[in-house]
Amino acid sequence: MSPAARKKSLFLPSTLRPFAPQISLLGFASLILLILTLNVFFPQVLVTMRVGLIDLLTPLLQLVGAPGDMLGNTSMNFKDIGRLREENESMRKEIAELKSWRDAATQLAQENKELKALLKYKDDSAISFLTARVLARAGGDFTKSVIVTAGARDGVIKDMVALTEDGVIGRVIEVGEWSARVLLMNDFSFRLPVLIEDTKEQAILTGAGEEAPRLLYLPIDANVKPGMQILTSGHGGIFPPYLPVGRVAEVKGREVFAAPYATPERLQIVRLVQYNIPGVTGKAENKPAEPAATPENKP
Amino acid sequence: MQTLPQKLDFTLRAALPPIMTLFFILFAAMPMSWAFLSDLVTPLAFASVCFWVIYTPEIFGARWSFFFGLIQDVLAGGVFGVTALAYLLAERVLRHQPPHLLQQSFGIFWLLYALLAVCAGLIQWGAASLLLRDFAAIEPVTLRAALGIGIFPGVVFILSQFQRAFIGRI
Repeated sequence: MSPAARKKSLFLPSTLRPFAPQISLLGFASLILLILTLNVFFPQVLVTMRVGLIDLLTPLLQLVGAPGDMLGNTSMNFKDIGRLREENESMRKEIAELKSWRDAATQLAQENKELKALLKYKDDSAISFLTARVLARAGGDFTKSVIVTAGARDGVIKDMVALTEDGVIGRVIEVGEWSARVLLMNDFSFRLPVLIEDTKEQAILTGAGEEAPRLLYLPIDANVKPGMQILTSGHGGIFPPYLPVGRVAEVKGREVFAAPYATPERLQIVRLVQYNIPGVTGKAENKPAEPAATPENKP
Repeated sequence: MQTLPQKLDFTLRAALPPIMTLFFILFAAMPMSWAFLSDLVTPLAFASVCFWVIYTPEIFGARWSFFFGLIQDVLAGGVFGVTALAYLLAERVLRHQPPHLLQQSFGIFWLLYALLAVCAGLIQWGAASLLLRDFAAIEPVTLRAALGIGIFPGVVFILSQFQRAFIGRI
């Protein structure tokens, strides 16, 4: 018997050693049955285990991803050198334009504030946000999610909205100490209450994996055309209203397909936002997210 | 009686197959610039498990197969335990083949791997369908299985070179 095989069977009494493979198989089968039972009856236990294990794996993921990040940054640096002059010129023009927009925005914000005070309007704007880097593209054929480098210690809580510069990309579903899982819009179990901007018709956007997301539960007489903008409707208490989601891509009979603005491919940075949606139990009492002291979050 | 250097040598060589498999799992989870690249590297872990079960059966058995299946489930966020079940079943099927048959005949090994890859995909499809309470799309599963079957010869070649160079016979 080889040293490895001899070592394995030392834990069993000598009478049971001939049955070691069968005992091992029975043990694993029982463990799998237990796990699958927990999936059905006590899913929260497994979620807790999973976030704990991801926290343990986070340093390894960072280690494995470090060479790729370094390579990517180096290649970007070389590309940037090539177009520095051009970028400088276009950024000067953009700054001049933005300065005039800033003045207009300041004026409008002041006017908005005065009007809201007059109407006693309860503000539901974002109260805090933090930016996190995507650490791992966690997902199989049917689950689409990413793990980000921000967790409870950074102020992340469950159901925070995940945004990119283009629009909604998902929401936080699991939170560990050092990391969090963001369910992406193209996951099969993702559901988002939306409305069509032009017609104000409401629907539920649902993920469809590699295919385009679909809009479900539109009214039978819905007047939806390709190109119409899709925004969040604010129903459900997780996503506030009027966040950009995408556009109607195609209408095939009763099936409506959406083209999201934010796409999960090449997703590297996400912004996690906590919105103060009025009337939602627990949201107002949640501790606001403190901006994390990470390089991505510095102005 | 083994000396300390011999024990250390054995331990390090025995740790290499699990380390490589873990590396494949973590590498497949990295965000990549091109979607096709991530599709290509995802089947590496399953191919690695099947390879080590055949070529280093004394050190890579049910425990490691189960453990790496769980790691996949932890990262994927799907039904916990499904990938562990698929890996364990693959390990059991491979173990019950005639000794040295799969090592000596790559064609049979490849064919068996193809069947196992399809079965593993179907297990995950079934679990996803149960979770969604509806039939999930079968295309992602078939694509992933086809990619895995396609890259398997390359994976076996690389791992067998590695095994001959660093692990040898344990």
